[in-house]
Amino acid sequence: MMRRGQPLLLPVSPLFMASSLVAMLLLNMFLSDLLGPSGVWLPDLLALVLVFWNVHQPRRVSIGWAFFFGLLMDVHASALLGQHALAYSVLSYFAISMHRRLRWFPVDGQALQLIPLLLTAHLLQWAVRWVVGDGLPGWPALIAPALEATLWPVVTVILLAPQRRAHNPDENRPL
Amino acid sequence: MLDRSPPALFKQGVTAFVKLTICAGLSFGLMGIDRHAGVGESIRAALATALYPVQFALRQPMVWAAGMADFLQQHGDAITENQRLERALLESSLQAQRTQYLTIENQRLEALLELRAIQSNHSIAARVVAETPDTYAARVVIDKGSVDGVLAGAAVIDTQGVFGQVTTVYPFSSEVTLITDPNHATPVMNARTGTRAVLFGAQKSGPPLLEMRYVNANADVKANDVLLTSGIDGVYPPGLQVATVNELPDTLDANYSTLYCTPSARVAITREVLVIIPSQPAAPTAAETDSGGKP
Repeated sequence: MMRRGQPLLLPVSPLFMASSLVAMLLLNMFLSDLLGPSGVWLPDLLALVLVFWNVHQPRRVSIGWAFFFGLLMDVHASALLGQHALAYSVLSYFAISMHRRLRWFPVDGQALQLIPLLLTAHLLQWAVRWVVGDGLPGWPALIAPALEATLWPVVTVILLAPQRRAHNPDENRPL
Repeated sequence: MLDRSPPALFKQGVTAFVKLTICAGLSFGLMGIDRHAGVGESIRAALATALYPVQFALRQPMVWAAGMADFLQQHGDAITENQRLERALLESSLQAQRTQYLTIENQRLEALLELRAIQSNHSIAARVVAETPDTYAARVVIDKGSVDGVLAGAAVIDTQGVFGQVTTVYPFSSEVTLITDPNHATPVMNARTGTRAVLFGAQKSGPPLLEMRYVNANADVKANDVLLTSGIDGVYPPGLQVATVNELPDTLDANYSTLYCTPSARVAITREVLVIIPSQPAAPTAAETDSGGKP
């Protein structure tokens, strides 16, 4: 069942899916290296793209992927091992459990509904570090989930673009 | 009891909830063993080694940018910098000559008193390549690892004083916890009075500071007192400069007060550091367990 007016999409390319996730991991690593500890407010682009594929391709990108990418982020950020892995797993679980409902909404509505989800993922990481005895990250950290939700429409447009091409390619037509 | 839920229409494999339970369980398990047992460290080291080529490539633009900034530095700046360095070299060569004399004298006296000889160390020059993105800790990554002979627990200094301690060693890089990390403790000795104290990293925004906690109201501490490593932790060699005491408040608290000190090492800007490898490997977390700073 689909929302009225929603275009039929081409099947997704697994290669594109995997490469988008790896590219976001690299971008995350680069940005966090660039800003160091002052980059608390940076949006977690890898988490956002994981959520995107969880919502649009839940049978292909599942919780195991989220866990694995989380572990890589942990090692890169020299954070507590399992901190990102746990947050991404939980994020992925809730994204998968709400994916049918979410796709009935227009993109801005989806972004609004994702705010609590993205905030939960960050809260979980703050809570874990607080329990371990590292204190709290400070107010600028709250900007991150807001920025992620703002970026949701952009991510949707970019990552759905390959599936929105025509099913019968024509040399005389641009797309 | 009868199972009343209908069978699934489509076979979808393991349910998301089961997967979440497994992954969350694994995460909590990893958190438990991280930085404690050997297993956590080896998982981290294996993943870090796999990530290393990628991290290396991603950090190159920043290394180039730093090199470029050095290259584009004004000619006049370079000349004044050179003059300053020559002056500093002259001063330190004077000191070094005196130190040589004092070392020989000290050895004779130690032999006379039958004291245990102070360990001699060798050192490895390294370059700071990145700050770790983790907000909660003050750590940097250096470009030398276990392949180059870096050991966990080794002290790290820069030209001005103590910089930090190696806490995690990977094959090609290592993580250094700075002395300004809130969980890191450095045992020090006041050069003027000889009283011992422990400095912690201060959790304050602004320039990096160190805290001397629980100072008695009648303690003999003055502003600009120089604090040196005491060497009793077995990690830092004795006599390295750590910090100078900041301006004191007019009256010290009647109970215990906290004094702030400015680290001598330029922790925020230094790029070249020296890793001091003890001739007998120190226990990796000797400084941390000695002070009880880490849980």
